[in-house]
Amino acid sequence: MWGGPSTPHACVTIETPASTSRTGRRTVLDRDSHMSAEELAHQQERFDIHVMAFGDRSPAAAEALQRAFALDEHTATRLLSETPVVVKRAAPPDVANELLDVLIRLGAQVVLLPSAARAAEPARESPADAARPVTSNASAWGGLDLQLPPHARATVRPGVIGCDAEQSSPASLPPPSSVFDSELDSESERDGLEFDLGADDPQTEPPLPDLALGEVPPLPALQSLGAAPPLPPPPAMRASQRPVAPRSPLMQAAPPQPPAMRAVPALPPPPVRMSQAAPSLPRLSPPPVRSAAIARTALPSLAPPSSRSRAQPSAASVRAAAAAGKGQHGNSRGPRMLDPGSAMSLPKIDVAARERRGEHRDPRLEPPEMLAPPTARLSPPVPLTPAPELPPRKPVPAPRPPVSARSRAIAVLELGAALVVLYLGLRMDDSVLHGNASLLSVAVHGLAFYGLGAGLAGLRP
Amino acid sequence: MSRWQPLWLLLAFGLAAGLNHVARPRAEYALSIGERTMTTGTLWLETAGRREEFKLVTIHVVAEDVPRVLADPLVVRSLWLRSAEQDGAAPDLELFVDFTGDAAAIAPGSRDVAQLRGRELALLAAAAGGDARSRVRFRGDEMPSLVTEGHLVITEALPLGDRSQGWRVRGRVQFSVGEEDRPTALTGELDARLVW
Repeated sequence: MWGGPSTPHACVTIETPASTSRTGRRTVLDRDSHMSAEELAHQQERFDIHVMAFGDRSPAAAEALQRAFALDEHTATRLLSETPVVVKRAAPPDVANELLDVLIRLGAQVVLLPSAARAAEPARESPADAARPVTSNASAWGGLDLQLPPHARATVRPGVIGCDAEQSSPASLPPPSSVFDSELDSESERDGLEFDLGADDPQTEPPLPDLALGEVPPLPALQSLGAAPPLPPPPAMRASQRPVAPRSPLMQAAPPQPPAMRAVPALPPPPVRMSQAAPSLPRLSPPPVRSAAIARTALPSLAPPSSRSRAQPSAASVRAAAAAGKGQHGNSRGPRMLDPGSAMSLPKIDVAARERRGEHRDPRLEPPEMLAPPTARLSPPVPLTPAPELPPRKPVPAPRPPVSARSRAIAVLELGAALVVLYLGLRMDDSVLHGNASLLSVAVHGLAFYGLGAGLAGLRP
Repeated sequence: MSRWQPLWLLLAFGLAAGLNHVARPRAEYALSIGERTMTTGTLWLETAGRREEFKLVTIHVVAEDVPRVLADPLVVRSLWLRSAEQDGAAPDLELFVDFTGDAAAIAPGSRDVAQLRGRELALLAAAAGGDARSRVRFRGDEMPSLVTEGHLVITEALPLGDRSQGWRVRGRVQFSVGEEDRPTALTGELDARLVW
């Protein structure tokens, strides 16, 4: 497995229906003392999802990306064009798997890298994080740690989008919008859309160059996603957090890192797996807490699935269904853990309700055309029209045998005789052509006309 | 031989006959009702001691060149002698006299009867460029007798004014009627008006 060094302080945020119903907020439970070492190891495995390239950059692919991650058109287009890029940081294994599936179906080449952030995660979530309202995470799309350009922020749909709230500490919150917007404005002309590497804990996020990524190509500028409401970071973290500026090239060159992150480069070089190796990705053991009810109750303010458009469910529904019910369905890919973070970061769909209505479908049971590349899958359906019946083919006449010399000679004789008769009739002024032919002359002329026809037919091949 | 060859042979005969009919040259033999009924002359015929008088209408000259296919035009120069019609019935006498002769044809528009005077003009069994036959039906006969041969000689031609008024002509006529093996010779004299 890819598990990084075990961190004794790993923290898992779990939402329970009781707590949600009572307070409307999540309750952070420190499960360190209740979890086994293996469970802790699973919880500590986090992955960064790198999209190296998109095989299809057509508008149809952009539309598919929009639908899959609830992106606006501008963001989806830029995401297609600005690869390689990190679309998710420190994703739990099941979330990583689901995102991997979706991205692969969208024609992307994806690389999963073990996230070093979790290894270096120094502390558990603060009480301020627990006090953060769930619905404030409105700047991530479909589980991607993407940051909207300034002009697109107002179009975020909170009901569709979740984020890794439990992984976002107050220190990772974005700076005030004024500062943030100015930075975006200044950089949008240069590199445009930016994607976050530090959705979880930017203050503990080691810069990519420090990681022994090996064959991973250089990544674009990364930025923390303002998924959480703009709560002020702790004073101790402000110095390193304020430059969320890792988006700036200068800041990337010398990113401020907390002392705890300095040791991260000492980690062994993580293996890099391309998207083709997705089936061999680590399949985690059943999580200690899994339930679709978590997803349902953790985000009560999110729109219910019934209110969502059926035009956009494809990848999101696949992800949510897989994240919520993989283990329960017991498919061949093995049980998967429903991480509260993934439940928060993925579009929330009432899978149980859909199952009761018979609408839920396992993506792996879908017909092959649904697994086709996005361009083909999302292209407008072509109405099937019966092929027009072709007119019956005319039988090709058999080639005529060549005219024999005898037949040709007979034909020539017939023609000659006819011409002689006509000439004599005219010469003797007893011709049908003069209108003064006798009965005998008419008969002879009749034979002459017959000879003309027979001769011409005989000479015809 | 295929089954279509007899059919094609019949079609060839039909084609020949039809072409012969269509290609026949036709001159215009036409008279007004007044010209067909108004008597302007008389023809006396004598046969076997019997003399019979026929009231003639004005003698008309038919002179035109009828074109033909692959041949020279048909030269029609004829005197059309005709008895007056009565009650719409066919005339009792109708003779076609050719005045083309051996010499060069007289121009159609010459309008000179002097060229015809004194010449023995042949009687035609059938009209040149027409379907009518020269015939005579004596009184009491049901059917007319066809003229086989004969001739006409104009002995006198007196103009009646300008050329549009015509001429008063006098002459002798001799022709045979009936079957060729037993022809009946007829002689006669005429005094009639001729218009050209």
